[in-house]
Amino acid sequence: MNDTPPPIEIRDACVSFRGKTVLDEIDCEFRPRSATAVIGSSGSGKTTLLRTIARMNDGMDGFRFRGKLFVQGSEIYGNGTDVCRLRGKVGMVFQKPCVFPKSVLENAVFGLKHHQPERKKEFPELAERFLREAFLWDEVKDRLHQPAAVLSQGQQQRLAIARALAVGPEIFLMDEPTASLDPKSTQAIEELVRSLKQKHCVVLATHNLGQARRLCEEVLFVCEGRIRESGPASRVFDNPLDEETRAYLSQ
Amino acid sequence: MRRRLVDSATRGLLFLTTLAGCSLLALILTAVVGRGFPSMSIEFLTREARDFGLDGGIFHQIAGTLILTASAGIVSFPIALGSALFQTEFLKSAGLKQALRIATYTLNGVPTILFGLTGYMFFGALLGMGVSWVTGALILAVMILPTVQISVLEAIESIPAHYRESGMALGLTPWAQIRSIVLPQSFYGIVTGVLLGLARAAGETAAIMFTATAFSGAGIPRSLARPVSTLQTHILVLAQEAVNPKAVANAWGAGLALTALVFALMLSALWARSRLRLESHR
Repeated sequence: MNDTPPPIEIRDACVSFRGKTVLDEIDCEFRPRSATAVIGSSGSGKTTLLRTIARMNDGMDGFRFRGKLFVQGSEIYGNGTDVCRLRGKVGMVFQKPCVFPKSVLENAVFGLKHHQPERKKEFPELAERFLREAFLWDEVKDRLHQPAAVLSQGQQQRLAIARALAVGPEIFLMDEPTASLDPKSTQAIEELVRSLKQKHCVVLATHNLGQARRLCEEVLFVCEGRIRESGPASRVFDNPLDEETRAYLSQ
Repeated sequence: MRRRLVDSATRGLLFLTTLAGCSLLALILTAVVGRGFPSMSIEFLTREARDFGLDGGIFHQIAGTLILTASAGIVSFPIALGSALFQTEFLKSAGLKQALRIATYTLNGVPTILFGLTGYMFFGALLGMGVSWVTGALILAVMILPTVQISVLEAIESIPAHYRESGMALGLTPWAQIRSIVLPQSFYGIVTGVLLGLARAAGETAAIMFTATAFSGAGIPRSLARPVSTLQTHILVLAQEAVNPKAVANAWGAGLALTALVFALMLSALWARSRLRLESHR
C-alpha cells in the first residue's frame, strides 16, 4: 500500500470574499506526475481554486477559507504555515506572461536569487539548465543579457515557467497559460506541459477543451463555484455524467 | 451646426482658462526675474548679509533654507516610505486603507501656520527645543509628510499588479518583494515625491517664521539647538522696509534665488516622473 499523500488534497473547502461565496463544497485531490485540467466557463472559480492552493488570495480584502487543504500531506491553512516556503513548492504561472524589467538571465534566476543566494556563482549554469527545461535555451542563448521584454509573448511565458522551475516546485499551477498566445507559442507551451508532468503534478486551468484533452489525464469541471464532475479525461469528455458538464462540453 | 458651435465655444473657454493660468505664472515669473535680476551677482549669492540685509548678500539665507529643507526631507522620507509600504504591502482592509488616505489628504490641507503653532507648542515649548533648526526641521517634516507620503504611495501603487503577483508566486518574502520589486519599480516615483515635498518645504514661510528662524544675525547654525536664517524670512524682513529701495531690491534678489531653488526641485521632480513613465513602459 502506498502511504505517500497526494500532492494536493482539498476537503470540503469553501472560499469567500467579503462574505460572498466563490467556491463551495470543494472536495478533490490531484495526482503526482500527471496533469489535471480545471475547466469551466469564465467566473466559475477556476482561477480562485488555483490561487487558493498557492495561498495567493491571502492579501485580498475579505478573503476567507473554510475546510482543509493539504499540500504534500501538510495542511496549508493551519497555524504556522510558512507561506513563502509553500509558494516555493507550488509554482504558479499566470495567463498574461510576466517578465521583470531585467535581462533574460536575471529573470531566469530571479526567484533563485532569494531562495539560494549562496549559489550565486552557479547562476549562469543554473539559468541555462532551467531555460533548457523550459525549451527556451536555443532561442535566447545569444541574448541572455538583453531585456526580457524584447522576447515574444510565447518566449516570455516560457521564461516565466523557467523562472518558476528554478525555485524547485513540485506542483505547477497554470492559469490559462496559453490564453494570450499565438498557435505556435501555444504548441511550445503544450510541449513544455507534457515534459513538466513527467516529474510534477500539473494543474491546468483552461478554456481550451482540445488542450485539456490533449494534455491532461484528469479533468475537473467547475461550475458556479462547485465541482460538478471530475474523473479521467477520456471518461469526462466522452461520457459526462452530469447534465451541466454535458451542456458545457457540447458548446 | 449647433453642435459645432458648442464645440468651438468649449474649445475657446478651455483655451481661455489655460491662458489665464499660464499668464498668471508668466506674470509672477517676469516680475520676480525682472526685479530680482539686477541684484543678482556672485557676490550677492556668496556674501553674508550685513546691516539687516540692506547690504551684503544672502549666503547664510540660502544655506539656511537648504539646511532646513534637507533636514525636513531626511526626517519625513523614512516615515512616508514606511507608512506607504505598510499600507500597500501589509494592510489588507480596504476600509482602513481608505481611512488612512483620507487622513493624509486632510493633513495636507491644514493651513501651514497651524503646523507652526502646534509644532512650536509641542517641540519648541513642551520639549524645550525653542526657536531652533531642529524645531523648524521637525515642523517642516510633519508639514511635508502628507505630500511625500501621497506621492510615494501613488508611485508604489502604480506598479503593475502582475509584478507583485509573480514575486509572491516565486515565494519571495515580503521584505524580498519590497527590495527586489517594489523599491526598484517605484524608485523614480519615490524620488519625485521627495522632491515635491522638498520644494514645498523650501517655499514655506509661515510654519518656520517663529519656530526656527532668526530674522537677522543668524549664520550657519553650529548646533541643532541654534536658529537658522532662511530666504523666506529674509524676504519678509526686507519687504517690511518697503520705503528703502535697496531693501526692496535685495528682497526681489532673494525672491529670485528662492524661486530658482524651488524651480530646480520641481524640474528635477518632473524629470524623475518622466523616468518613472519610461521605466513602467519597458
